[in-house]
Amino acid sequence: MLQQLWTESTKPKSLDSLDYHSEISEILRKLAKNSDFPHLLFYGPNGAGKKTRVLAFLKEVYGSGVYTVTEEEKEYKINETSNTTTSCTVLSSKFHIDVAPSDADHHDKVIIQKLIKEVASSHQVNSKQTKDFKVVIINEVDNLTKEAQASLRRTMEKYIERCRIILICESLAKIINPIRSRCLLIRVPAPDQTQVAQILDKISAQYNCKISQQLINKIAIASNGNLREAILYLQSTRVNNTCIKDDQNIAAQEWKLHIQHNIVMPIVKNQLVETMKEIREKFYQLLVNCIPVDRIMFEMLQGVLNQYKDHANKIILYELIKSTAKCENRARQGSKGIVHLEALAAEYMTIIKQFA
Amino acid sequence: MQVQTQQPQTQLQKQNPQLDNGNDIIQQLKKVGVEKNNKNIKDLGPDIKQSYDIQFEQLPQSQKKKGAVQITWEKQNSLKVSKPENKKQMDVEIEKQDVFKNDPDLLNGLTIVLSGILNVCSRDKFEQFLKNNGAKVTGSVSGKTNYLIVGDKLEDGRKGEEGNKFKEATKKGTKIIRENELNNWLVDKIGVGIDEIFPDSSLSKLLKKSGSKKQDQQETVQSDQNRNFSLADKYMPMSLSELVDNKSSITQLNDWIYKFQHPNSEGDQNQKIKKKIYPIKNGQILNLLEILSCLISGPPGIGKTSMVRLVAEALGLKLIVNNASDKRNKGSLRSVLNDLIDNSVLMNLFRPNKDFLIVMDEVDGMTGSDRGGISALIECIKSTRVPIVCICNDIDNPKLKSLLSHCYSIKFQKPEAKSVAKRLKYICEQENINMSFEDLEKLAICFDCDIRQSINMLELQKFQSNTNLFQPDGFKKDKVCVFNTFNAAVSLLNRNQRIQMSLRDMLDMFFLDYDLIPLIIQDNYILSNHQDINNVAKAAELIAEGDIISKKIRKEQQWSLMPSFGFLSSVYPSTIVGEQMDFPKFPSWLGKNSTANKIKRERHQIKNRLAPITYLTSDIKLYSKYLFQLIKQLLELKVLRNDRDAVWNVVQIMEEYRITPDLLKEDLHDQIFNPLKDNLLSTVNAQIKTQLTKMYNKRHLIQKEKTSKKKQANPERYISENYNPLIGEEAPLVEQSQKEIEEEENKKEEKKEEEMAQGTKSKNVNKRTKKQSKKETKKLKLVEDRSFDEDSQQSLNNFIVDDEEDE
Repeated sequence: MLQQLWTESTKPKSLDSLDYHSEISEILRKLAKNSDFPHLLFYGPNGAGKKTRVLAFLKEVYGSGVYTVTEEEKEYKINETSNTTTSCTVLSSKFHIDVAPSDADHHDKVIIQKLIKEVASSHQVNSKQTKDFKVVIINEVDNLTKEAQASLRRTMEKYIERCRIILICESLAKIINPIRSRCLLIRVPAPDQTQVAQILDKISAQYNCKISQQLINKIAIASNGNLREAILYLQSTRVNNTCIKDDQNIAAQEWKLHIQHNIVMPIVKNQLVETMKEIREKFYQLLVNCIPVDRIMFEMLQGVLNQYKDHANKIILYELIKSTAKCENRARQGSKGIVHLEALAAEYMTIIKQFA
Repeated sequence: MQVQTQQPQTQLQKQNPQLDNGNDIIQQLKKVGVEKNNKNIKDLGPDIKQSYDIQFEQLPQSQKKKGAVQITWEKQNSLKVSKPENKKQMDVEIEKQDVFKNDPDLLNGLTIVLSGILNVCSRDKFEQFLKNNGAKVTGSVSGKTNYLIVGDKLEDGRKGEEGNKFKEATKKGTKIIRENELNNWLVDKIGVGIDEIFPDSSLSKLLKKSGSKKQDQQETVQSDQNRNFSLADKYMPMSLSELVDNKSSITQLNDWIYKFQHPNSEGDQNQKIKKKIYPIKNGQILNLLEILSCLISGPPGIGKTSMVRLVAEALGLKLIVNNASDKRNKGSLRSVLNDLIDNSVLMNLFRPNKDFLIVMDEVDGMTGSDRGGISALIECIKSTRVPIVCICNDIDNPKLKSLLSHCYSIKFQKPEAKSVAKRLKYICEQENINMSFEDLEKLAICFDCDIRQSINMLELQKFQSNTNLFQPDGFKKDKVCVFNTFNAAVSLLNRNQRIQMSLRDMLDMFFLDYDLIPLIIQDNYILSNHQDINNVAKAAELIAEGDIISKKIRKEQQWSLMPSFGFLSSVYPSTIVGEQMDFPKFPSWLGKNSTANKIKRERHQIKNRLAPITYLTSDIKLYSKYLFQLIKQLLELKVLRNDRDAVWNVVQIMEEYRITPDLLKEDLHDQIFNPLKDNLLSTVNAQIKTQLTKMYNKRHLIQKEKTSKKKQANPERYISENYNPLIGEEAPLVEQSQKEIEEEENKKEEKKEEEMAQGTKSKNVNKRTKKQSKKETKKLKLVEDRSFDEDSQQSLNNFIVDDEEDE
């Protein structure tokens, strides 16, 4: 049976065992053969395999020791005078450390500055055998504040001798240009449906689930390129039903459905102040669950666009997209999500009232 | 603790020089007078008494005037040496007391309804009086009602005319008697006025009593005029008639003290006082007779303390005041109060236990260092033989809850602005301040009818008027004084209130509380009765812009942006959409935000737990959802298929991912999008849940203790290079012979047992070993199933805690 979810037990551990994007694997292999490589920036959607590739690449560079990691909670003082500290969990092997400074919210700058200095201050223990530098993996770079990104920019140049930085993020848009220009950009696109289906096939064969090709395709479509979700879904269907029915429905994530049913539909139906009162609660239900505001806005936009995609007046679509972009920008600059979501909902209502 | 009055001993000692040294009788008298009761004085015989009287009458004029207390002390000792006019007055009163007797025929056949607070005497008392005289007192106005007697104010502070009873009575044509007509009506009906009916406690008598001393004291004030008095001190009320409004409270207090002293008087003769039983139910005080303390509450600066002082003076009680400037913790209160309330020697000096009034001022200030003060006070109240009056500002203060149930509550209302203005006008005249009545009224409103503060304000005007700087328009309503946060939000969101304000005023409203008001506006802008969605959208956009500015202010400390923030977040949106809003909702954002933060923390926690296995940074939500579902499904399967391994599998998964049962039930559970907030594990059989927890705890009972110790010493406690309980003994184990494994397991078993024996009582060793061996065989199968490469297993081993072997 299982002690691990299939996402872990089937995770490829080396460049050779990666299933798709062989061209990226080739580049990485070449990089690893060199004695040196530049800072890297991996970007691509969730569940596309960025981290898997990074670790496989590091294994190629340093050997399997990179998978032997320890976990440590690091605390740093925010500044010399105050006693407030900020903390961050760090995974580290002999060769690399793996950190997500955005955990520290707006104190992420401190972590970037201190942690990298700390790493760079010590030499590699066994320099004969391996490279003379360590690697710092920084996750979720797109969630870093502008200040943290700015401080990263200098650090990247200053400590290049001692450490290489591998950045991982979802979208390049939120990363400042100076950082982009200092890195080798590697895009890891989401696998397409057939690739997902192939992998699911492989896994189901490995774990001996009797699952029809039809259902596998369904899962592949529903997962929308998120391989992690696809595999997890496969496993949950396997646990749920011993004999999997072919016509089983693949449900989207609940919160996405919630947005469609409880937020988009009321907006489309009645453009009234009453509706605003109604959907405020629904917004809060999403926000309380820490679903990012931009994701909610994106889903809302998709839902509304879907409703009006056949509308005669195409202007409505442009207006909807425009207003969403405006609100997302504001939400990014502001702090209270609910305010911006409500503004967006109200804006949708006025647009729909005006054009539809 | 300060005793406001002069002790009689010192008084007598002062008289010493005037005594003829050779006069033995008078010396003897002095001793007797102090140490024994006044009864004994009478026993001394007429001659000595006369000389004693003479002795007092010879006192210099100044000493007589010195204060009410001296006089009253004399009065109560029945030494008729007080000032002649007082004496006369008392005689008159004594005569009056005999005039009126209850007669059940006087008001026979009348049905009377009472409404509101009566100033002349307490309503209960008046009701009792009416009943005693044959009238029928009912609760509501009906066709049979003859009269409705209405007080000026209702209990909740509204005017008497606003009451339902008043309206009903006007509808039905019942005769309505207002408070000012009451005396005439009584004279008309019974032939006696209200003063004669309640000679002991009527307000007018009290007013007379305290008024009689007024003149004396004003003289002292005038003589002290050169001293630097603040106006508020100078014009502290010197008689009860000078108090502004709240006459009913005076009556209430007076009644209460009177009843405390005369438990067997009046119509309550059948009710014997039970000093140690307190029939208080649900905080309702049923009978004020049996309450040994009273609590006066009301906003500051309206004369609560003055009222108590004056009532005490009028009744001739010695005032012992204990306020926030004194140390009032449990110990000190006990030592001080217990002496007073229970000291028979001290009591016998005067007439027993009647001549003190202990005032605990500012009881809501008994905090911090005054620990246990309230409870000590309550203890004292329970056993006191002296009336205790407590004074506080806020009766709803949770700290006073316990005290409240032991007290007769008297509420002091805010006086009317007009009455305050009247008093201020009087002061102005005295001080030659040139201000019109209207301005003074404005001033009073501006300070929310706080008389003391208004007088202090006058003082400022006093200096300004000399240089003609005074401007009547200078008195605008001071928002900070008058408005609370919610009122401010209401005034922004209500069209009617808003049109009276300038833009500047509205911004001032925002600055009342720049944290809360934007939130209240944000929460209520769609609830304020506006129907045009376009305007709402505009308002929402402004609020959103405001949010951006607010972040700038907080993050970059750009406080100069504050007005812009106020304008965008509060003023402008509310002008667009604010129509009508009576009770704004409390901002729900605060609660939601803290919940969101909690879930965020939990997610972080899960992320840290999972990180070494999954390398997960984003997408935690998705992952947690499936992990949770998987566990839940496995547990449900247990019932469906009667699968024995299911729980064991779950425990294994949980250990692999370092998820404790608590983490599963709370942190992981919360990550699932669940708008209805159901308990998602409720579908799982409760027995299985407990089984899971038990099984998990059994394996971790000993480890827990160790890890908690180790955690301090070694933060990297998760690395262990040895044994991994979950995967079995990894690859080599498959090749090992069964025997070897068993041996190893037995060793472990022994170890465990030892530890168990140390900690908890081991229950049934045999059973456990059986279970264990079953588990082991399962493990072997599992290991065979696995198809990891070496790397993964090594790495996995390293992640998982096992302190069992760590030693």
